[in-house]
Amino acid sequence: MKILKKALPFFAVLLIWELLFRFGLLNEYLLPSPLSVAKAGLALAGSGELFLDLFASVKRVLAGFLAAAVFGLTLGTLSGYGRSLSDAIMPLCEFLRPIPPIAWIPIAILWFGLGDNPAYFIVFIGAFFPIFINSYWGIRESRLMHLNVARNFGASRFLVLTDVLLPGSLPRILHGLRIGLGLGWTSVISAELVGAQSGLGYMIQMNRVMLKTENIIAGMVTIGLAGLLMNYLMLLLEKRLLTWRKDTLRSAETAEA
Amino acid sequence: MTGSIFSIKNVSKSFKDPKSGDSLPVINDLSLEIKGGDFVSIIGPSGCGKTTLLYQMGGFLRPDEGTIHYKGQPVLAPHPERTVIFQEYGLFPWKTVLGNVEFPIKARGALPAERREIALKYIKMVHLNGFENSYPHQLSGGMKQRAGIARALACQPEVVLMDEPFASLDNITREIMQEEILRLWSEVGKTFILITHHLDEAIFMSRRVIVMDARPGRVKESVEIDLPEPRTPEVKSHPRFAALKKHLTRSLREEVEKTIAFAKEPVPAAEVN
Ligand SMILES: Nc1ncnc2c1ncn2[C@@H]1O[C@H](COP(=O)(O)OP(=O)(O)OP(=O)(O)O)[C@@H](O)[C@H]1O
Ligand SMILES: [Mg+2]
Repeated sequence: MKILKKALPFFAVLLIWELLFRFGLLNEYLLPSPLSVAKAGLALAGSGELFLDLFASVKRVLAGFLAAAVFGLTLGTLSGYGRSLSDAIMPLCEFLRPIPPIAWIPIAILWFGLGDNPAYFIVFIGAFFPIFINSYWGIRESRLMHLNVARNFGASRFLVLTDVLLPGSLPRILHGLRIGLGLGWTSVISAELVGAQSGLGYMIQMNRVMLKTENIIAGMVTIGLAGLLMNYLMLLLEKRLLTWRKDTLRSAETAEA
Repeated sequence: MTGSIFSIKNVSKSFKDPKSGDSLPVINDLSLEIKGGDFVSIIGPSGCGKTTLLYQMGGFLRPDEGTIHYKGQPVLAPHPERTVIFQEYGLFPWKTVLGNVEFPIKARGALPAERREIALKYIKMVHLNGFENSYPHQLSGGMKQRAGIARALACQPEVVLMDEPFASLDNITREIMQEEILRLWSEVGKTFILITHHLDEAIFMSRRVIVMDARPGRVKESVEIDLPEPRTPEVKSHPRFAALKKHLTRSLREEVEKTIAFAKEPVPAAEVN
């Protein structure tokens, strides 16, 4: 029932799209019918090409995301905990943050050439900031009362970190990871548009050159579906790890993917 | 002074309003001695500085002037020997009841098996067995309260400082909790200090009731509660109980009226709680 409700808008869009096509309102070269997109997608999947590109993109996003998670979490946690570190690096971060990942592509290609390496770098840039900022604020906005309780019991700084600050900011940290993965995914596609010879971004770019609009759209649909799946998996992880928050938040309802 | 576990001498404390820079005197020249093993309640009009006093006794705040000594040593920082139960209990929502009660034992470095054993003992003491693996959001107000108390006791403190611990409970639960706390007090033989707005509660539970002045607070009077011990609900119908209540009501009322008169002037700072 729930899944039906969620799938409904997808069907509605497909239906309107197909109808517009039937009434001859669409130019086939600009927007082919959903049916021919589906056919093109199946053909690409059947030949295995689509999966090769998908895997190339997924590999890049995972590697870059993992590096961003390790760095972002460590740096965010440490600077959330220690005032002097955050004073030192926050201004630099707030200066770098508004530079969008795509703006890094030219320099990344210059530095790393074409292929995986610039893509890793771009994903890292895209994913790092949401992860860093969210873990920083998660720690920073811990409740004073909980810290006072821990202090009262004579907890060591390490125990305060592992048992109070980190679990308390876990909702925010996981949120940052989810946003980071999403941004990493959009970043890898942008990076592949210009800086790679494989991957979904590269694939849709090539099909533009060959004027195969149905392949472009099939590629875009794949990008969207993969992003949807990643987001879903991250939400599942959040739900798993945050059972203690269940029922206390309105968002718990929405998180029930 | 011999026999005193807390010795508070001429303590003053004021807070600065961050906007106007005005300083608001909250406690003014307060002195108080508390005997080890006693049950003492502190009552006073809202905003008279009770929580502020308790935080200073716990070591979370420093007096501007005067001294607070605990067992002859100046109180400079929080210490596990003096455990505060905060107004909202301060349970960690990400830990189960067991995890919460284990925390102070973990903090002093006990091994997991020992930790568990001690924690379970205190959970049982507050009748929360069966709820070890529940998270705070799954508990009722009274159960959260008991979990907070179990955690405070698991720390094996010498002094338990409680800030309106029963405020969010219904009357029946409140009475049951009062009796449970009294039972715990007589079992563990520690010093309990209770802030409350309920006169009945203060009289019923305490050996001594401290009445505070309207802000800036100081001790207006200290009333010995010479009711028979152990306290059972029957003492509430004791003629002495009624007399004490009458006296304390009058005393407190004077101060509350002063507070209300003050409130007609602009209030410089927001309340902490
Ligand atoms: N951190 C703070 N900064 C500024 N003002 C404060 C602070 N803490 C307390 N105050 C002020 O000090 C006064 C006393 O506060 P306190 O919380 O000690 O009162 P209380 O007696 O516990 O009141 P209640 O019974 O309502 O809990 C209040 O007027 C409050 O506004
Ligand atoms: Mg208070």
